[in-house]
Amino acid sequence: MNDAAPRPPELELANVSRTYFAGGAEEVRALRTLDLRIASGSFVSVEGPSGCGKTTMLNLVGLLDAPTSGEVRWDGHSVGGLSDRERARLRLRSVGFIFQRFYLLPTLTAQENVELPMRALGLPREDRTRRAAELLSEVGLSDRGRAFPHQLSGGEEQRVAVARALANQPGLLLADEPTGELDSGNTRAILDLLVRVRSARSATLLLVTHNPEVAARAGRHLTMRDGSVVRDVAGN
Amino acid sequence: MRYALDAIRRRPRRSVLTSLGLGLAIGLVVTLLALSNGVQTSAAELATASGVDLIGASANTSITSTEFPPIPGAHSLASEVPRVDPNVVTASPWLVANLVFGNASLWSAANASAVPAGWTPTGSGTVGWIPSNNGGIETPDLYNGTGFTQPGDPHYANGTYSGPTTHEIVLDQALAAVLRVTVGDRVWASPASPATNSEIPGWYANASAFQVVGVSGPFWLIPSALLSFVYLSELQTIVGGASSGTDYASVLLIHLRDPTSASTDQVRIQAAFPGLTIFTLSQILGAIQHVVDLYRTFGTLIGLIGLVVAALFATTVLQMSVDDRSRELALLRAIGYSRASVGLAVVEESLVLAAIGLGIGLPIAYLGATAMNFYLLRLVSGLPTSFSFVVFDAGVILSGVLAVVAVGLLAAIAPAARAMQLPVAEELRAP
Amino acid sequence: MRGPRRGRALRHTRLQVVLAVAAIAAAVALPVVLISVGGGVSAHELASLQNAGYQIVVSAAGLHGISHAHALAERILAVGSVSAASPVLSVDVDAYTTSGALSPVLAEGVIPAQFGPTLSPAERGLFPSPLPLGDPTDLRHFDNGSYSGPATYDVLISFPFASAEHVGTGDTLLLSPTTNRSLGTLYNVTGVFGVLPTLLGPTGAFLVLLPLSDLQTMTGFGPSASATVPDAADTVQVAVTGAVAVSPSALAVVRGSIQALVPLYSVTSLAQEAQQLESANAVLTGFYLALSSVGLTIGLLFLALVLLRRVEAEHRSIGIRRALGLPGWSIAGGIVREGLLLSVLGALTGILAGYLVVEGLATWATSTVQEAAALARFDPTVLAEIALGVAGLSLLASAVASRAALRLEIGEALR
Repeated sequence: MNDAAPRPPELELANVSRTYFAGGAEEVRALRTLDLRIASGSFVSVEGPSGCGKTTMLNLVGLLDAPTSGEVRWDGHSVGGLSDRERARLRLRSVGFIFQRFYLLPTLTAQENVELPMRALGLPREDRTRRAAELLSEVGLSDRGRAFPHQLSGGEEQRVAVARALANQPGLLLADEPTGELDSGNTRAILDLLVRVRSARSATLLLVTHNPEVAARAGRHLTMRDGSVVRDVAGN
Repeated sequence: MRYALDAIRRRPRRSVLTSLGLGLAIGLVVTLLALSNGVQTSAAELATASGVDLIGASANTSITSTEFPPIPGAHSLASEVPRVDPNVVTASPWLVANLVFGNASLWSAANASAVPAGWTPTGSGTVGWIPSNNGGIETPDLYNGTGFTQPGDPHYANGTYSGPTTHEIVLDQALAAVLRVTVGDRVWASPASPATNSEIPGWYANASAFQVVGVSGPFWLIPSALLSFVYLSELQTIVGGASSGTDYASVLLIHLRDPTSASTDQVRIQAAFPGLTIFTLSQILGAIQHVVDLYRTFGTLIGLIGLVVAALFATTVLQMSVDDRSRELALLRAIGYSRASVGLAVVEESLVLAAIGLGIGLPIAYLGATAMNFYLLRLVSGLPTSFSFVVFDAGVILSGVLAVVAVGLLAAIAPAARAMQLPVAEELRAP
Repeated sequence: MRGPRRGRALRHTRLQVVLAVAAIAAAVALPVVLISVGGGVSAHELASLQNAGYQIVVSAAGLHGISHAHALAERILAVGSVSAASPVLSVDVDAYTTSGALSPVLAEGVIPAQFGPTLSPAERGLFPSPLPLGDPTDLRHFDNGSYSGPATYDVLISFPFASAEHVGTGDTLLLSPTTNRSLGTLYNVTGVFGVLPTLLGPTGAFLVLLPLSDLQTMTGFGPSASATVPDAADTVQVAVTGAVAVSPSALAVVRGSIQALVPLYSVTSLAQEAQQLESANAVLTGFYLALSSVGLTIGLLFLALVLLRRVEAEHRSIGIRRALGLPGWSIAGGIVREGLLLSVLGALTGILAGYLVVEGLATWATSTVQEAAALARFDPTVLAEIALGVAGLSLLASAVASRAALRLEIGEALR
């Protein structure tokens, strides 16, 4: 896989709000009129108490969810009008998700989990296998490819998840509390890994975290409360 | 495929129950298909193998009526019909009548007033035909004896009924056994039955004596447990009636050189002989179909309900599977798999379940069909040995496979829709 | 599990429950249809046998196996409790109308005065009374077996034949024993009679009725000098007086007396025939039940699956209850209750569905099936038995699920 990764998109949330209707009249306003620009290739950390709308914002940016009002733009183009198939295609090529709970498929091996996005893209088997092995070696698991998720430690599982997120060379990495279930040693290791792979690919990394140590390594810090960004500062 | 197999491996108890349920349903349906196929093909094969391509009855008879008055001019029809239609190889008049039979030992017993207690007259379906005029028409095999010796029908003697009487008779094995006679023995026959033992000597005096010239196998063309065969004119003389001496038959069996043109021949013969109604084989098979309509409806109902239950069953199992794996499915969507590919995975699982059901169902169906054949063959007597109520051929298996695929696809609709509608973001939220 | 997820899971189990009930209902509907239609048809056949105006039938082997029918009828009439003895000769003949049209018909030769009393109440309404055949006892033409008395040349024709051939009272009809007009005899149509609809088979509705001796001379089964069977008949239908008709033992005595007159003929009471009919129907019903039991088995597997699923979904609450020390039977009891509820619900729905299917068949199916469906009988006892049977079998399904519930690792369930 030597072809150059596409340039990461310029992201923009314009006047975006998201309201959930959880059964009957009860409304949950997860996001209220958010305006946000995220430059291509930047590393942004997002902090805030639980329920403040961090994950909702991530899901909107990553095209897993659509805003109740306002627009999400990639490189200036609204993604609101995209069909389900186009959104899926965009996610497949341009977005890598990393979840707190890893979400590896329990019946697939580490190697197969990493291959999963490439399979969806229709890559030939040899390419898939080779690239998955490369990625596993990049995350330090070159000898664990045949292991099933239940045979891996939490840190190892998250490394596999990172490798999977990188499979199709996405320009945008979205990590939702990726170290939330890890001890401090593993937290540092995963973070190092994320920072390393991001800079190696000049990818945009949007990282939701509670951990100040993690946040400290980002180039920009967002703090959210009650569905709004209350603080937006540049980092080191 | 991987997704489907995982789902099945992960819940062994559920998978066993499901496969068993689907297998039973498919077994039931395939058994019924084999039965329906068997009855139809066997009946058609039998009918075709009989060599009878057209059947003549008396004028204006309808195929659904039970009234078949005798056809006059039987002997002349045998020669006239082939003359009118060159495609006719054989036109064979058959007179079918019930006769009562007695043997020599009963005669001596009756004369000595020593008829065994509990003896009752033996009735038999008797066919009067021109033995040498059955070319191409299936007749029973001779097990014993040489059979009829005279060509044509000597007693008829051009309509005079003054020719020599052959007194030859062929009995089927069952009748020979009941009468305890064999080739060379004599038997007596009459259209009436004695009412009391004291009438027996009188009955013998009025009965016609025959010599057994052959013992044959069973014969399914005439549905009678006990059968005998004699020359047409000799049976005509025995059953007599007002038309005693008149030359009549019950049916005219016609064998064609080229049976594919049967309907053309039907029209042609019909036009030339207004005293006859000619039926084709397919018309007669159609009439039989009508009679078994109720049983067919019941069978269809049983099969349909089996499939409906199987489809409901499979739907439920797939729903459960989608529920169990909602998070995995959501993850696939997050990675970039389209809705359609997630739906397809569910369809795939459904088809794998159906295939396992088929694997279980086909052996069940084979056993069930074999058992049913055995049961039905014991229930119905007089069928040729080759007859089978169930035919388990590629067509049946193919229909079974199609039914299974249909059930699989049908059952997958709702669960696939659910999988496609999963709210991805919600499913992936950490608890 | 957060609110919406859990809510959805519950909704899904509800859907599965509905599907399971539907499956059991479908499986129950099948035997309901088969039993009610099959039972209805055989009950109808039985009723028509039992409602016949005669109770005993004499028959004999052979083409027209009974000879000396007039004399035999007289001798049977002399047996105590016999109210009518009606010899019947049935021969297929051809009928030519005045317009020259030809139809094969079934001719029945009877002694009018004996034939009338052997008609069932339902049939009696279909015949003119008394039968307008000029020689009620058929003794005038028969003339002591000489067949030299004056014949009536009267014939009654069935309504389907009359309307199809446009023949009616006052017309003439030429009857011939074969498709040979020159052998025919000219008859006067003196009446038209109706026929009962027949069941599950071709209708022999083209019928003519004429004096026995007339049909015998026409077909040659009469005068002893020329006939191969003198004074022939196929059956003698015997009616007994009211009290004897309803007493099987008294009927058996009469049957015995008649059998003694003609030891070599077959003399059967309709009660015997009814019994044979019933056992033949039982075989068929058993066959269908065996087939539909497959559907029920699948339904129960289904139920077991849904109950197992319930146990899975509630394994935590089961674990908590076990941890609190609740006895196993209280947990199993809940599952059994649920299984019973679902199966009874399914059975009731199935019975209703079966009823609707039968109604549907009676309205939309082919004629044969329609007739059969119209006769269907819904016997409450049988339906209750089916429901109870299904409920009983549901215990098996509950047992599988209860076993799974009781084998839950409490520690595992609470983690």
